[in-house]
Amino acid sequence: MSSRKWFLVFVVLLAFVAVGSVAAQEVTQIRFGTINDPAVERVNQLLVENFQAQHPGVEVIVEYIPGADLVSTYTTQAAAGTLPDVIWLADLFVVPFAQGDIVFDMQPLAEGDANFDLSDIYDNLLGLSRVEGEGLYMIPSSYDVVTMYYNATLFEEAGAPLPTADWTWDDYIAACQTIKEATGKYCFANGGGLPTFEWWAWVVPFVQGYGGSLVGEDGMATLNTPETLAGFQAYVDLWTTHDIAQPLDFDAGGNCFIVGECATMFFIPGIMSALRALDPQPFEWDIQVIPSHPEGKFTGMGTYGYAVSANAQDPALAWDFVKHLASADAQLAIAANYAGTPLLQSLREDPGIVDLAAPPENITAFIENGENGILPTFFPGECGSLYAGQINQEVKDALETAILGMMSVEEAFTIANDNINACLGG
Amino acid sequence: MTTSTAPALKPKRSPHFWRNTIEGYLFIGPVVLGLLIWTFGPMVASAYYSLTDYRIISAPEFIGFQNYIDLFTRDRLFIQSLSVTVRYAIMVMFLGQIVSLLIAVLLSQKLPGMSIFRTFFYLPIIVPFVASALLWRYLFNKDYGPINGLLTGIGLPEINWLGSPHSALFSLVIMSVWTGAVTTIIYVAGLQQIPEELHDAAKIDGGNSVQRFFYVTIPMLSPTIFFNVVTGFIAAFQFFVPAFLMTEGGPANSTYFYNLNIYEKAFQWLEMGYASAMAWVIFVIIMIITILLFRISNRWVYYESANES
Repeated sequence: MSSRKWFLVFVVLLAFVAVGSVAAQEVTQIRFGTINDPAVERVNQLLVENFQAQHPGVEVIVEYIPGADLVSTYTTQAAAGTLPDVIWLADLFVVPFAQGDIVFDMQPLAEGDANFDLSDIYDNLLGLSRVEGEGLYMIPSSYDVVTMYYNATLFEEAGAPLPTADWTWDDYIAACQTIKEATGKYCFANGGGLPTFEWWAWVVPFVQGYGGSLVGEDGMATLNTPETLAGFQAYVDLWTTHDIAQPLDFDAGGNCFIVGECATMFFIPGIMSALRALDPQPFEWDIQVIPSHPEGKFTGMGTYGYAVSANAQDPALAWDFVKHLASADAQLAIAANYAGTPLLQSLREDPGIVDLAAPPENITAFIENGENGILPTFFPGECGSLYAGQINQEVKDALETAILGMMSVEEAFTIANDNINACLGG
Repeated sequence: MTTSTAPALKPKRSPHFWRNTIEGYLFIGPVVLGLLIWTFGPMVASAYYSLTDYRIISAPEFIGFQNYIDLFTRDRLFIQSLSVTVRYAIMVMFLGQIVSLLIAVLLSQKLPGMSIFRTFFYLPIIVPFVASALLWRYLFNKDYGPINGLLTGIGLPEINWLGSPHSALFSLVIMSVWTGAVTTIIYVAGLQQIPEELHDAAKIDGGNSVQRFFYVTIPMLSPTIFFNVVTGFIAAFQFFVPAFLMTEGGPANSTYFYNLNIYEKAFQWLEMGYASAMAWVIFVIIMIITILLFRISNRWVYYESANES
């Protein structure tokens, strides 16, 4: 081979090496769709910073979406095939997004990742990320179980006993009536920044607490069985018979509990940071596990999280972004910001949690209460869910008419049951 | 007798004619294109979607008139929301037109500083919807709202304005009347067009102010009233933002307006086909009402120019 030919081979080889090295250094991008919410932003930052540390060559493009437009934006993007690689979502979107092929089933990714231990996450919480117990469509941000916050100052001023872990709902009602008589203030805060009265995480635990259920084995609604009606009745009685729940038309000027007009609030751990941010603290407060129903303790759950989208260009890379949320580091950071309770069982006794400065003094009640957490009832077919659509509308209308005294619980839920079954029956 | 007619000569177009025509079309072209693409295009699309089961994520599935059948046979909220909207439209039309006309008459008085008062009455229209909705939610508050404060101050009972299914709709009517500044301004303009000599003639004939109002002002203002009634009805049927912000359709669906229903079906339930069918039903209803109003306008609307011809 002549020197000229050797030279040509050398040039070609050099070109290959050069092109290869350029390709290896090529900056790729990962798109991350999220809502613009201060409560979520800290978690967003944690994920972005961790991902960039692990993948310095990959640029993270954050796309903020107004909360009210989240569903329409994601669905439109899904229809166009332009979803971000990673998306923020909440538990209420898991089923419709999974059924609509908006989110990717991350179960195989989780199982195939030696550095990720899915079994360490509380199993009932993971139920919020699955569809009928199958798949993994969201990594939740925190062990968000609905727990009782109480205004200790108000309880003490009224001479009512402070809530304890062995309380029943009857104990709760008695204490609230004492507060109502002494101060004129309500107990059960709802609306005004909190979910409204029809939130499944409040209603369904009452139904299950009286031995009822919303769906039978045949997939049809069972809203008017004696047990289910007893649960609805007990819930509605908080407004009608006992007069301790914040009336639907009572505008407290914000969250009734936070402004000091309601003695208790049943909500997830994330609101701790907002309460602690009040400076000076307007009252002393703490938390306690949910009171007991006749059939035991039941409470709802509700959390947000992150998922690999169905349009992710590189699902494995997107998984690297998402999975950090369930790491001990991220969970301890979230807890340190009072933005949630760790979802890892291995952190149950961690000093990073149990030694957090009060309030709340009884912070472990969030974790103890976790075992009482139930999942929203799944309705088959295309009639909606407890979050949206016709089923939500029927339950809401029945509750509202019963709370306002326009119909009895039995009448209202018999109508709702018939309407839902008319839809479910096709 | 035979007659012969010469063939009509076609007028010769000047070179300027074609140039002006082309220029004219070029000028209106963007608007016409915009109308075709952004208005008629979506209308045609929604007409098609109304015949489909379309939930954005999956391709539309043609189901004929099933959405329309479901609307009238299975959807109790369709009838409820339509009933709320019709009751609102009727109330706001009567109350709104009367109040706007009376204010316009007051604002047409030849008094010093009247332009300042007119500006005040126009202010509600420049307040953003969200701000006025929040303001009225505060005013209507059952416990600390100024309106109830005023009522109890003069010994009247409190009213649960937005919290009761019996009063919530009427509360929104009151708010809408407050925002009727455009109607008032149009009436002011209409009143100023009425020739002064007609009032003078009526005065000479012995007509008092009430008689002049009903026999001179109202007939002469009838085209303006007709315009305000037609546009007011259309606007009333499109009522949405205050209900969305202030009551979210409650309590007990008493303010569940038709457009709120469409919004929820489309953007919360993601039933785009069904929502499109709802939109077409309200379009047809508005069209029928408008045609009826035009038909009966012959009986009460007086056009001076038509009389002259």
